[in-house]
Order: sequence, then C-alpha cells, then structure tokens
Amino acid sequence: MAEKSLTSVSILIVEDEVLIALDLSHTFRAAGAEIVGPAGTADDALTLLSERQIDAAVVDVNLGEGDSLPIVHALARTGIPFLYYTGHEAPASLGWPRAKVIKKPALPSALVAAVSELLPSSDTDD
Amino acid sequence: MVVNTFPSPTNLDFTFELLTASDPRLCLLLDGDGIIVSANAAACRALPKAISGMRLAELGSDAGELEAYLRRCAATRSPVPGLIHLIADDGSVKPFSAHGGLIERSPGGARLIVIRLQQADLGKSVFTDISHKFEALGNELAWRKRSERIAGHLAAIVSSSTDAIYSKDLQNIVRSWNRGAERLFGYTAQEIIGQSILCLIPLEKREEERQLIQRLKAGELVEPIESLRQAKDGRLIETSITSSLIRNSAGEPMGISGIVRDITARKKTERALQSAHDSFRQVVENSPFGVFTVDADFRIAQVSAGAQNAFANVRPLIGRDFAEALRIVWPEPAASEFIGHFRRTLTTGEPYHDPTTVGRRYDTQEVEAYDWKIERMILPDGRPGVVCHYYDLTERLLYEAELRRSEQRFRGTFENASVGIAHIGVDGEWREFNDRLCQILGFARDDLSARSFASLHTPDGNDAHEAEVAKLTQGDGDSYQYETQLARQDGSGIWVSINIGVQQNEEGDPDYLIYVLRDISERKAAQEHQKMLMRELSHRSKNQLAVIQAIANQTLRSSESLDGFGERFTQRLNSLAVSLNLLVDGKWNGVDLAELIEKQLAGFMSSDEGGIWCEGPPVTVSDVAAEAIGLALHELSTNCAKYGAWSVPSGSVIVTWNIDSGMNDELRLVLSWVEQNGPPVQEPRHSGFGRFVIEKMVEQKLRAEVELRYPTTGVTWTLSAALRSVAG
Repeated sequence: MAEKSLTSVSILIVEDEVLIALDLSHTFRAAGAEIVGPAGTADDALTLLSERQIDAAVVDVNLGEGDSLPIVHALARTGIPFLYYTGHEAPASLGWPRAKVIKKPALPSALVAAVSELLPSSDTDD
Repeated sequence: MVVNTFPSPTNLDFTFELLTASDPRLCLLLDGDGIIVSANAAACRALPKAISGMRLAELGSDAGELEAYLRRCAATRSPVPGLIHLIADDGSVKPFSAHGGLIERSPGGARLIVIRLQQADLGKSVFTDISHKFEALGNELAWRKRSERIAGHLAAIVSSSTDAIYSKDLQNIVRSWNRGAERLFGYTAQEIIGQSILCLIPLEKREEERQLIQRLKAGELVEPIESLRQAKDGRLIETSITSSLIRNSAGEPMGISGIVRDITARKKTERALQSAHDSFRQVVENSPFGVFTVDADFRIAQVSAGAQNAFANVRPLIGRDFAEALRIVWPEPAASEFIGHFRRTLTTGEPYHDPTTVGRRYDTQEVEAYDWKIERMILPDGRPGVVCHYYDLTERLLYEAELRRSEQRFRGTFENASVGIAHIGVDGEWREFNDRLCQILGFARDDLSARSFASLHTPDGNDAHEAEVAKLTQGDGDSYQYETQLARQDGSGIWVSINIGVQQNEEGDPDYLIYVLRDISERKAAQEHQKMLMRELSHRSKNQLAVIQAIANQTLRSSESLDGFGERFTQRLNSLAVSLNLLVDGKWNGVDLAELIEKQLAGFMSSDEGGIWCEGPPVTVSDVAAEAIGLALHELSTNCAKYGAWSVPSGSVIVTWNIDSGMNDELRLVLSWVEQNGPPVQEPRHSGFGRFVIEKMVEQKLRAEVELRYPTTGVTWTLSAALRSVAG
C-alpha cells in the first residue's frame, strides 16, 4: 500500500546523519519514490531545490553545526510540502514554519504514510 | 536567620552600644569628621539632639571649642580630658567634662573617637549647693539658739517678755497669765485665769504633761522640753517649755510655773538642715560615679554606690580612718601621696585634680586608672570635710581595648571573608562593603560606592525581590534570600546568591541590612551545562536509535539468513557501543584516537600480538568522529578477518596516523590502514553496507577524503580530514 502511494514522487531528504539518510533513501525508494539527496547541509539542500523538481521533503532539524531553517523556509515559500523528522522536540522557536513532526526513530511504514498524506490526493491516485 | 554563615554582627557600632548601653555617662562614638555615629542611652536622654549623622560641633554652644577638643582627641590614643559646653534640650548651656580618645576601626583603618561626657558641674554643683545650705542653715540655727537663750535671760528681767509665762495650781487651773502668753496663745488673762490649762495641751501631749508634773512634784529639776501647744484659734505651736514647781512658805507644792517659748522658726531651720543632710546622703550614696567624703576627723563619712567597688576590701568602711583605708587599697608610696593630698585640701581648702592616676592596687594587684578630684566642703555634721569624686578610667581603658579587639575581629572576618558582605542602610545607601564584594562585582571600590546596590540588578524579574527587601526595611521579617544576575562593571552578568539579614537599632527598628553575596556563576554554569547535556542526551539517544534502526535495516538487506543478520547486527551494535562507552568515560569530551583503535580492533585480535602495528601522536577526536571512525574500523576489521590479512596467521595490519599540514596551512588528520602478508586481494564485485560505511559515511560525516584501494598485496584505506572537523 505504501509502495503504491509514493510511486514517481520525488522526495528531498535533508539529514546529516549519513546512516539515517541511507536508510530513509531505502525506505522511500522501496515505496516507489525517487530520492533527491540526501543532503547533509542546508546549502546542499537549497542547491538541490533549485536544480530538481521536488514533490515533498523530509527534513531533520539539526544539521551538524547548523540547522535546517533556511531550507524549510525555502520549501514553505515554494509551497512544497514537508515534514520534520527529528530527535528533538518540535521546533518550538518562532520563525520555524509549521509542519508535521515525526519523531526519531519511526517505523518506515509510518514515514511513508506521513509523506503520502502531505501530497494532494489527486497525485497519489495512480 | 538565613545569614548563618555571617559572624554575629559585632561591628564597632554594635560593640560600642553593648559596652555603653548601661553606662550612666554620656557616651558618643564619632567618626573622623566629628559626626556622631552612635550614642548610648544616657546620651540620648541628656542630648536628644545627639542623633546619628549629626555633627557634634552643632550641639555645642561654641563650635570652635568642640572642634579644637576633637582635634586633640584625634591626635592621640591616650584619653584626653577636656571641658566642653553643650546645649541641653531646654536650651541651656551645660558644661561637660569630656574624656575622648581615638580608636581605629582596624590597624591603620578609619579613625573613630569615643567620647564620654559627664556634666562637669553635676557632682560639684550638687555638693556645693548642699554645702552652702548646710552653712547657711547652721548659721541660722546657731543664731536662733542664741536668740532663744538671750530672750530667756531677758524674760527674768522684763515682764513684757516675748515668752509666755503662766502659773497654774496642782489641779491645772490657770492662776496667772502674762502678756506674752496672751500673744502666743490668743487667750486674754481674763479669759483663761480660773480655767483649766488643758485647753492648751493637745490630747496626745497630756500624758507627757502628767508625767512632767509627777517629776516636778517629786522634786526633780526638769530640763526644758520641746512640745506642741494649741493656740486659741486651734493652731499648733512648736514650743520650748521650762516648768518649775511653786512651793508655799511651808515648802509644800502648790502650783507650777511655765515659761513657753515659740520655737517654730528654729524647728523649721532644723528640719531644713536635716533634709539637706538627707539629700546630701542620698546624692552621695546613690551616685553612679565614684564619690566619697572624708570628715574633719579624717574618717570616711560617706561612700557612693559607684565608689563601693574601689573600697571593696575595706571593711568596716564608714567611720574608718581614711589613711588606714587608703593603705589597705594602695601600696606605698602612692598611699601616702594620696593621704597628703587629702590632708592638704582639708587643711587649706585648696582643691586638687589628677586626670590620670594609674597604679597597681595593693589589695587586688589590679592595675587601675582614675581621674579624681578633691574639694573641701562643709559636711552634714557642720564641719569641713573633703569630697572626692572620680571616674574609673580602668573600665574605660578595658572597654576601649575590648572595642579595638572586637573591631579587629570583625574587620578580619569582614575583610577576609570569602563572600561579599555589604551593610546597606534602610535608605538603600551603602554603609560599608568589603573588598570581596568589589571583586565579585568587578568594580573598583570608588565606582561601586557611586552606585546603589539596587541599580546593579537587571530591570527584569527582580520586582518580587525588591518588594521583599522593602518589607525588611519596614521591619517586616528578619531575612530574605534570593538568586539573581547582577551587572558587573564591564557589563557582563554574574550569578549571585544574596542572603539578607536585618540589623536592628536600639528601638528594635531596622537600622541596616546585611547582605552576604556568593558568586554562584560556576554552579549556574554547571546547571546550564547539565541542562544542555540532558537535552543533548535526549536528542542523541533518539538519533542513535534511528542510526541503529538504519544499521539494522541495512544489515538485514545484505543478510542471507536470520542467523547471519543476528551476528552482523550484534557486531555493528557492539562497535557503536565501544565508541559510546569511550565517549561516556571521557564525559563527552572526545576520545583518544589510539584508544578508539585499540578498543575497536580488540574483538578481532587473537592473543598473538603480531597482527597489528599502531602508531601515531596523541589525538583526541570528537563524538561524531569517534562514532564514524569506530564504525569504519569495525567494517575494515570485519572484512580483514573474513577475506584479508587477518584471515591468515601471517597477515598483519599497520594503522598509522599523523597530523599533516595540508592546503592553506590547514591541519589535517591522516589515518591509514594498510593490510600486508595476507592472501592476494581482489576487489569485491558489489559494494554493500560495509563499504558504504568505510567510504561514503566517513566522507560525508567528517567531510573527509577517503581512499579505498585493493592492491593484491593487501587492502589500503586512507582517511584525510581537516583536524577541526574531527578533533574533540
């Protein structure tokens, strides 16, 4: 069911923890999605955002020495749906765009379901 | 009391108050500028204007005189006697004998002057007044007695005597009555002759009269008696009555004659003299300071309460020969010298004053010091004697020494305290503060003086504390404690704990607040660090779980069986745990690279030590680097044991690392893994999770350059990363 729902959907993964990023890639690829990234920094992610067509994004909050604020702003501005996948509590500070928060660790199926909910229902019927 | 680490508030003012509270003398504590710092109860009573903060000179009738005296006091430690004039509450100018001396808050510290005042003419004026009264009354009495005598003589000659003369028969019937009797009693001769004389005798005096008549009848010669008689108008008259028996020619008693003299005026004089005696005795005996009198026979006549101590070993005391008494108390030649002064004053009337007599007593062997003065006066017995009044300077010297000691103790504690201490008035003004407070707040002493303590608080969040402190200044509560951040002079903040206690004044009202400040910035920093660690730990553990989840998923993908998965997964988990343990041991401050390598490889080594060669300088790597390098070494080791050098007994691995200068002088850590003497190597056909870890993961996590090669002689792996991205 999850595999069907994300077919041909391009998902940007922003995650600095390489192994987690690898695992997320596998998870979404297995669900039929096309992976953009993973990006370990906000800069890398912004570059990918400008170069590639992206349907949805999964974004970690803390990225090593920085955070993902620039990229989530860019996503919010361009109307690309995204969710936070983080070990932190929800980014509570002002200035963080509101979005669904999935707490680490999460089941692959839950992640796939959460991302598919971000997408317009017409796009998921395939 | 919260301020339990603060020494009891023994500062100078407090000690002064303690020592002078019950002193009958007026005791003032002045600062170097002559400002009254403290005054005892006696001073407050006598000089209600002598309040703290007032300049002593303003209380005097002659500011110049006072200032000159204070200058003299400030110039020496030894007590300076002097006479100053102060304006009393009723506006009158009163002379005070003063003893002022300098004390210092600490050796070389602020100078203070302690002054004890005694109304200079208090003792003397009372004595002089009474002494004058004795003299006048004594003279009057002598004159009256003489007049009475002369009048008596005249009565015999002149019938118009001022004395009343009458005769009565044995039945008390008046037989004769002269003009004097008419004047004295108000009865005319016509009225009273033939009447009983008892109308003149008050009821309570009739028995006395009856006995007198008995004695006269018995032939006794009776001295004049003093008794009361009643005039016609009911007035009682003090009289002297001379009675004698009248006999007939046969010598038989037939009547009594009486000469009655009005002695009311004399009696009044006598009573006045008696009351003067009584008040003199009272003044002397109840005097809180030392007063005693020596009579004309050189015997001790009276001793004041305040002088009892000095003669504690002379018993009996009253009536004792003064020379004898002095020799009990003082050794020679001092005793003889004192006796000489007393005798001279008694003989010549010349007063004598010694402001500082210091000596060791003979009886107690104590060193005592006195300021004493002797004068000749008429004593209650009507004869000249010597009055001595003195101040015991010993007590003062002792308490001044005690004051100094106590102040030094206080200073020592105050100045050397490891906490900041400040005394702040209820008005919010500094009273004083110690150097430690300046250090904590990073202020120079003068700069701190120029600000108020309240102004050091940050504007936010201190309203509640302010309200509590205000309560203390209003006498509500006796302590308060809070923690806050204060602004240092350089603008930075410092966390302090503040304990406030209240010092009360004599009336029990808050006088000033005692602040004790502790620098708790380290504790606060530790608390902040702790919080950060907790947050970090929470984040890290969740992240770690996600990593483990990823490892599990990846291991599962490359496993052919569940057993194979179990073993590989456990090994990888173990590798993570090894790195984590080292991090925890090092309190998350990084891991020693050599130790990391040793621990990660330990599981793959046999007892044979020949399989590995490690060499490199001490390097501490960060938590992220420890995990990444740890996992990579684990994967390399696994492969090595399975297919590489360690799969044969002869094989070995050389692990070396170094810090190199790279481009732009950036320091880089270069770590290399070289397998040798193993079986010939072939590059694997597909790259699995292990290879991802060794290459991609390390590259990305450490922004490193990784080179993995498969020469036939053995696998080589080289990691080169900026030192700053891997160092702990």
